[in-house]
Amino acid sequence: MKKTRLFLILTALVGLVWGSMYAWNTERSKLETFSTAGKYLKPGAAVDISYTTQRVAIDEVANIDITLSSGLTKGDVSVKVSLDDDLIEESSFEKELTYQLNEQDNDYKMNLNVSSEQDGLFYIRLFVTIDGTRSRSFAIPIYVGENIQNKQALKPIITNSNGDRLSVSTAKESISTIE
Amino acid sequence: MRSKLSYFSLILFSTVTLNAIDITGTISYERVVPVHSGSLTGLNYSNISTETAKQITVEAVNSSNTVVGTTTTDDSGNYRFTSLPSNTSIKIRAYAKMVKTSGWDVRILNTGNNDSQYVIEGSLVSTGSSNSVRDLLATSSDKSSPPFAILDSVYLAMNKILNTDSSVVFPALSVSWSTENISTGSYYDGTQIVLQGDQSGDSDEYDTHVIIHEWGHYFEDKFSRADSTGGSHGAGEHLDIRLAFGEGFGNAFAAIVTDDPIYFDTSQANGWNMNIESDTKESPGWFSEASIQRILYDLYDSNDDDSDTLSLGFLPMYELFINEQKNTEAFTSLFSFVTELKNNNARDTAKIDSIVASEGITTIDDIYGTNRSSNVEEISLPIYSNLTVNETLSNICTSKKYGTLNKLNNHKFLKFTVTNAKNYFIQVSQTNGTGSYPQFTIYKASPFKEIGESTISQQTVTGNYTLTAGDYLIDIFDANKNSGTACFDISVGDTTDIDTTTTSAPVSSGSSGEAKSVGVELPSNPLLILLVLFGIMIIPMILMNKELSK
Repeated sequence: MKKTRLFLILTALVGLVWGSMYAWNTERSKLETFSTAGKYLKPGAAVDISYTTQRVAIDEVANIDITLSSGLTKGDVSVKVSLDDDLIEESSFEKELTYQLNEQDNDYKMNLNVSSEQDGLFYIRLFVTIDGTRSRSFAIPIYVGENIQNKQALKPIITNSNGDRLSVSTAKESISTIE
Repeated sequence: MRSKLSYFSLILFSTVTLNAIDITGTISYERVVPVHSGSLTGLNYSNISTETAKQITVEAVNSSNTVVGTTTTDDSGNYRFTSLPSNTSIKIRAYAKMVKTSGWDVRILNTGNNDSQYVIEGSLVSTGSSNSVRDLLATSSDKSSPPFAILDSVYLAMNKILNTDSSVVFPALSVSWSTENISTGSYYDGTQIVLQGDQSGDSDEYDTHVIIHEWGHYFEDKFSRADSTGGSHGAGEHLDIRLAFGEGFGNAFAAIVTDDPIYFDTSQANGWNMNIESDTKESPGWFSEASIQRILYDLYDSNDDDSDTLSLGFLPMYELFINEQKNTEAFTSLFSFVTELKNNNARDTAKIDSIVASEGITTIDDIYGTNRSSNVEEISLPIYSNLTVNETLSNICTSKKYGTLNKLNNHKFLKFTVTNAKNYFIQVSQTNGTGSYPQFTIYKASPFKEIGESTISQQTVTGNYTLTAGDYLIDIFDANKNSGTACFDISVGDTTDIDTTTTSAPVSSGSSGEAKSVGVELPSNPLLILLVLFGIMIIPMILMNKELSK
């Protein structure tokens, strides 16, 4: 009997731990990470971006970690940061900043805190230029609220007679009759 | 009786003939023309040209959404429907897609809207009783023209190939573009081209060179071979030789297709450009995509300059890509390309060497780039090290001097020969510390094929592979971007008597990129931390206490 109780206790323990881990993983899945590494990217400034962003509720602060990396060992990097109109800057940050690349560590880390009073998909945009010549643009998505699909759903989808989905625009058309 | 039948037939024929209506027309789109100013290039939405939509699918659709006719525009954007019913409501629908049986299948898809196909439609108007002309225009103001502009750039690239080899059949390609493509970047990923469409930032729909650059990756992938690692890159960088060649080719190909060496990339009114032929040389060499694009363009173009007295045109390059470069026993790089180009064009060897030398690259004699003498980190050379089965090769070092992931010396290359088919044991072990996360990939050289990829392990990584006789390549990579210079002993043995006692901590069996963290990470949500602590500590303590108190 005692063995059975101990077995049940251990089972409950395992279940609790598993449940906790499941909840943990579910929470972690709300984080979105992205890296441009591994894709055949177009040329541009020799800079790469990695970030971790979040899905947040309305008025909840999204804590965004950004790392800009470069394979160059020298050069002046300028970064312009802008927010979509509906994003609120929760902690002040520099909108235009510069830093120098060096021989050691060329990972430049930024942390931004933003929120929004509206549902939707918004962006933090970075425009990065090295030595005033080549540039590269990045946009970091911020998902706010539950209705982030609304923007896309507003666009009409029709299907043709083959069942293919079509995204239709009205053409500027001129019609004339051949007599 | 026969006379009556003939009379009836004549009336019927006349009626049918009278009721057959032709609709002809032209499908066009608006292209926003880039404006160059020094090294800057931006879009000017008041500077618009009207272009024709070539080889696209056009349908005549009735009021029931039934297609009553399908045709294709010609190379002037003209279409023709014949024998449409008279006095019937019809609209013209033009697709941003080109489909030709045993030719091509290119579709521009709206990733912002369930991968739907972009179309423009005219109005539902009666065909009347006379033939008519219906011209359709996709405008820039409502963003209906970008898919057609993208398709036109793709067709330009395809035409360069078709003019070289009219029998070519292009594997199906989809291009994803949307105004919702804001944070994706523009890239080719082996299955599709993705293009940015950020109307407040970086959009590429009118950036012909960018589109053709990415199409160049598709060409390499489908018709030749690309061993590139991918990832971020730019001029002035010391890149992995495979990446440098792929990106240099993409840039040069854009200039070759357009016959315009000014490569540009706009971000609305902002943007930049570079001259593929004559930009200022920053850190030129065999590791530089800028050097490679200049070499390839000089090999192609008809302009002679200081070191360039050769005008090969595209045909020798195309033939090399689909044959020797595709089957090279080394990794695809400038070395494999130039070696085979010289083999195929023996008369022009000196001129090819001259163009290559103008980038500070000593004469290329083989596909492995032996006998290099460049001003690079010492451990960069040799580019390929020779390994002998059952012997240990020491002091093969990776470094992060030029950056991480896809830069020069992040990967090191070995080659070895197997004479007997059997099981082989491979071990890569760091000798100058423990901070690395080595990973290796093994390839059969001919026919070129990836045999396998190891896991990523700390300090030492091993693997067993059944190998047949032949030549092999190994690519060694340190996935710890913070480990600095890491030097390794590498062994390939046909027995298991190589020391396997070194501990290793498997981290990931994934195939690319960064080493995963091996530490335990705490959840970010404080409530979850409490829940975990409660589950692990408090509840068992209560339950055990109860049990023991009985």
